[in-house]
Order: sequence, then C-alpha cells, then structure tokens
Amino acid sequence: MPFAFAGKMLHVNLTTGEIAPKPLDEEKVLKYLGARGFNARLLWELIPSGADPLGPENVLIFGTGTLTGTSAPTSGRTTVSCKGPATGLYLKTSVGGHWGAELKFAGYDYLVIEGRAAKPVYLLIRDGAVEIRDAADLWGKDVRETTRSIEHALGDPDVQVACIGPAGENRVLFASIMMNYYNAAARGGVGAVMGSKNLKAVAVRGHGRITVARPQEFRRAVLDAVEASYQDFSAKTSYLYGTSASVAVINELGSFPSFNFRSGRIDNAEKISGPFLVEAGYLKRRMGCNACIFSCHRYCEIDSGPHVGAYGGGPEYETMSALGAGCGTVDVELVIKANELCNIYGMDTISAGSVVQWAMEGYEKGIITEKDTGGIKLQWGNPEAILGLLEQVARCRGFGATLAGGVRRAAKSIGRGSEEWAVEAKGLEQSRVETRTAFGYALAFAVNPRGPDHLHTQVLAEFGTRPGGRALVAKITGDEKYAFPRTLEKRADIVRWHEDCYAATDAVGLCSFATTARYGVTPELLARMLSAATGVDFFESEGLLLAGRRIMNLEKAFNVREGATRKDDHLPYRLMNEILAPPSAKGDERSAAAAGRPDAVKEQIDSQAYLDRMLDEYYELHGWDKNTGLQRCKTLGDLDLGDVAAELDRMGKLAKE
Amino acid sequence: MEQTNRSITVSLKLFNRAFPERISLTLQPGARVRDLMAKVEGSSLFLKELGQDDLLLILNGRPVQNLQGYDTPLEDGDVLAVFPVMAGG
Repeated sequence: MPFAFAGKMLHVNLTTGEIAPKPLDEEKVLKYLGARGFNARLLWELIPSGADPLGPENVLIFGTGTLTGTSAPTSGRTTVSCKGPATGLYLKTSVGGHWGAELKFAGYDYLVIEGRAAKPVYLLIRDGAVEIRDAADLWGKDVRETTRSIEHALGDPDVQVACIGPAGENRVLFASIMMNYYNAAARGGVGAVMGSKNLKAVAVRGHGRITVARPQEFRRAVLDAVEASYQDFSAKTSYLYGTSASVAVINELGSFPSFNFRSGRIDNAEKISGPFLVEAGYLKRRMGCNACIFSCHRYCEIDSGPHVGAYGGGPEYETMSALGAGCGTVDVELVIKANELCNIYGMDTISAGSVVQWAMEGYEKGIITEKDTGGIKLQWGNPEAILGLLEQVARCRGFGATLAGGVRRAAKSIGRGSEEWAVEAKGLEQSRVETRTAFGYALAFAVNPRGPDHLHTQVLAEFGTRPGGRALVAKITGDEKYAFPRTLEKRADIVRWHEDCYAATDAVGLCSFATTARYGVTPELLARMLSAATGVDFFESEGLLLAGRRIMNLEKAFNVREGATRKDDHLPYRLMNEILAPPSAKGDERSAAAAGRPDAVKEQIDSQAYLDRMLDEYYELHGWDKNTGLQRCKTLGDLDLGDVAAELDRMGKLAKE
Repeated sequence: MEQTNRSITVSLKLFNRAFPERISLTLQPGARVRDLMAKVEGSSLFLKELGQDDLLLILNGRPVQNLQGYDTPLEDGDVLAVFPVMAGG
C-alpha cells in the first residue's frame, strides 16, 4: 500500500452494474495533489463536452484529500465533483465530517459513479467489498430517516452515510448530499446529480489504516501546523462561537446581506449570532470534522415554543444570513427550524434562502401574488412563508416547482424585471458576502468557475484587520498597504495567490479555515506535511502553489470547453448596479479616501468599469487573453497541461498567442 | 476639521457577549482611538485579557485598520465597536 493513500479507486457504473476497483495512479494523483484536483482531471477525461448534467453521461466523483485519514490538522475534507446542473459548468463541493476518512479506511481514495440505475439503489462499501443494493424502501425518505434506516439495517451505528433527501430525488437544482446527518456537500446541485442517477446513498465502513512515509518528520510538521494554527485568536472564537461568531461584526460593517441583499444590516442581528446561540442555550454541542483542531461546527436544539424539538448541525454564518436576515428575520428559532428542514430534505441553505427572499421581494413588488403561491403570504420574515416555501421546493410542489430551479430560472419564468433582484451569476445564487464593499472578493466571485461564492477563493486577508492577513498581503504584493478592501490595486495578485492556495488546500484535504482564514498552515507547512506523508519530495511551497494553479486552470478549461468566455465572469445585477447604504452617515463622511487612501477610488464597486479593470489585470496575470478570457497554449503548457491545450485547440477554444 | 477646546463624546460598544455593553465616554478634543482604548482597558476584563492583535475595532462601520489604526482621530458622536477577532464563515 502506498503511503498516505489507500491505494485504490472505485468505478461503479450504475447503468451496467459493473463494479471496478482499480489501482490508484499515485503519480497522476499527485500531479493534481488529490481530491478537488484529481477530481477535476477525471471530470475533464470522463465527461463529454455538452453532456446533460442530469443525464447518465455526467459522472459524480467523491475524492478524498491526500492527507485525509491522517492526523494532519483539519484534514477531514472530501471533494464531490460533477458537471453542475445549476450552471451547466464545472462544479466542486468540499465537505467535512468523517465520510472521506472512512472511505480511505475502507480501502478507496476515490469513488467514481457513472451511468444511471434503472431503479433506486444505494451503494455499500465495507472494507473493500462493494455492493449495489436495492433502495426502493429508502426512496422518499428524508436524510435522517435514510441514514437511520441504513445504520439499523447494517446493525452498525458507526457506518458513514452520504445520502440525498427528497430534494435530490426531485432534482432540485440546489439539492445537497448530506454526510452522516450534518455535513453538507451543498452548493450547485450535487444532490440533484446523485438523484438523477437513482442513487440514494453511499454507505461506507472501513477498518483499515493510513500510514505515512516518514512518521517522525510528519509528526513534527503536524505539531508545527497545530501550533501555528493556534497563534491567531480567531481559532478560539471559532471554537466558542462557530462561523456565526461573525454575524454581529459583519452587520456592524454594514455588509451583512439582509432583505435579499437590499441592505447590509438588520436590526438586532445579535439575535442570530454565535454568541447568542450559546447564551440562550440553543447550543448543545460543539463538533469537529475528522482531525479538526478548531471544532467550529455547532449542534443546536430548541427546547420549547412553536418549534420545540427542532435540531441539527449549524446554523452557520451563511445560513443565518440566507434563511434569516436575507428573508427579513432575526428569529433564531425560525432559522434553526428552516435550517433543519434544509438539512433533512437535503438542500443548500444558501440557495434555498435565496429563492425564498427573491420570491419575497417579488411579492412586495406585486409581481408574485397569493395566486402564485397557493395562498402563502410572502411578507418579509413570515415564518409560514419561509417554512412553507421550503417544503414546497423540496417536494417540487406548487410554487416550489418554480423555485426549485434556482433564482435565475425562476426569474426567467416570472420575468417583469425580477432578474434584477435574482442575486446570482452563472446560475448559482451568490453566497452571503457583500462583494460591493470588498473588491478582492468581487473579483474572486466573478471569476469563480462554479459561480459567485467564497468557497473557492477566500480573500479575508484583503481586509487588513489581522496581523496574519497583513503579513500575507505584504508577501504577495510587496507592501502591507494593499491589505485594504476598497482599492482596485493588486486585487488580481491577491486573488490569484488565494486561488492557488485554496485549490491546494482542498486537494490535500485540509479545511480552508486552517490556511486562508487563519493563516497558520502556510503553503510551506502544507508541503512539509504532504512530503513527509507521501514520501515524495517535490512539494516545496512554490511547487504546491503551482499545482494549485494547475487545478484552477483545468477547472477553467472545463468551462471553456463548455463554451464559457469572459462574458460569464460577472456579478449579480443588483451588486453591480445598486448602491448599498453606508454602515452609518458618520462612516460615510469618514470614508477611506478621506483617511489618506488616495487609491480608494470608491467606497463600493458600482460599475462594470471597475470590475473590468480588475478582470483585465487578472487575465493578464494568468496569461489568458483579456478580451475573450480564453487560455493560451503556452500558459497551459507551462503548467504541464499540454493535452488540455491540444483539445481546446482542436475545438478552436484557445486564445491566439 | 477645525479644532475646538470642547470635549467630545464617543460611544463604545463592547461585544464581550452577544449583546454589547454600551459605554459613553468623554474625551479631550484631538483624542485618538489609542487614547480611548487606554482609558477603558483597565475597567474591562475582556479588554484586559486580549491584546491589540486579538481585537477588531470598528469605527462608524469601518475597521480602524482601514483608517489610521490606533492613531485614527476621534470626533464627537463617533461609535466604536470592539470585538474579539474572528474569521471564516
């Protein structure tokens, strides 16, 4: 068995029923570092261009991180990849929990699902043995019922279950895959792809172990990574209050997306914050993913009142905005209940909240009426509206069937200007980051191959609020002064470095909180751990970041092959064309420009011209053609992606040199 | 801005728990963020325990690092919110 890997990949063709374990080509995996990177390579090779994302020719890949299953801190991540049904483009989702480590303990690093089963099935993987089992009894069950049924049927409470709920079965375009109840591979509709394959669940149990090549050296690198991670005080707040610790801060900054991104603040935001979950007694447990050293994940439960008994993982920061403030409410019990519905029906809370608030704004404007909704009054914050619509969406019933395709499709169907408050780009609902006030984020969201969200390139460092972030910006740009979010200067450089690092983080299997949020695990430390674990010594940090760039370019190439160009790299209409109110009148007077920042051209991005300037610099930095956004033969060749360049060339989709 | 000799009043919101502790402070004209922090740091356990790098200071909706840091001058009616640092969401 090779070091760090289980050493095998598993191909399952659901059309033919063929189960084919294959030896892992570690050299090829390591060229793409693993997980997200190797998945992207497999997508490129296995999915024909133009394939229907919900057709049998799409493939669904579960790829474990190369360090997953070891003691490397936060190494519990798994990447689920496919062609995305919401965007028709590249899709990867990273998920925590313990499922990935279990897959490696069961003997497989990668699981590739092809084809479509004739009837509902689930897959059982136990210590190398693989069965395709009938899932007629599971079809229609929610995530909890499904997971419990499988645990019960196997008589093993430790089995790790990845499954879809009714939303995935009904091909809701933001259906998630839930891992062991609480961890979601959520964005972009991976659950719909699983549903389209008639695959209800993948249950995994393994008793194997992962060994590393140089244990002493690995241990030292791991201990250094742990110590470095704890240097930033946010490691402690993350444990105490989870991701929703940030709610009150971001509200104070006037950047907490509320009322469908019409406002950057909401009164009493504290009531949907991490500290409030603790103080009001909703928080029952703190949980960590495999090998986590932060444990930011929450477990909350409601003890009394109208939603008594509601429980589940989270709610995370994103959910507090998407299902709370974005829908005009700070009723935390309502958010916990709505979060529970999303988790048991198997839906992404970000997109689910986005379709509800889009409908609420349409209702306020008189474009959507009770006639459309079957009598539900969609006033802001109305609990019946939020919970009722989520039920309808998961079942694709009534107005829910219109919303189940996401806001782009819903706005297209309703029309009458509703595209202007459909907060999406590429067909994906934007995650809860106010990109008008953070220029690096705006650029990162516009160029993200899967659509506008923060889980591809997290540029927290640009805010300059923490020493680690300022030092990083100084390292990337040569000057700490660029750690400032209201300038166009150096955004391309900052975004590209974070793209590289985030891709490497995902691929190795670590959580981005350890690298680009907390700065403790540097590329050098990542490289040290990876080298000691695999016994392969070529990962000095530049090599690691270059491998990250190779992944990013391959993902980009996937989209180019599908026809994407520069015109697809844009931001939601509202966030490019409507001005956000400043956090306070005082704050506006005390603008950054007035504080000796001549490079602060604007308080917020409010025109395509600003985005275009950053896009020009970004494409040029990448060596892509800035007019079309297409890659060049040399750029791809330099990254050892010559065969990708050749295929794009044959299709006429390479830029001229 | 023209300096006057009149003292200024600044509101402090200390987020040491979910809902902030609100303190109104009177300062000499020309006072800066560091003067305000020096004045309150002894009175709050929360501030005593955390160093500058562990705190996030937001003045009228802007992080002080995006202004002039601890040297940012204060004006009458300013609102300064103080949080422990946090990251990730």
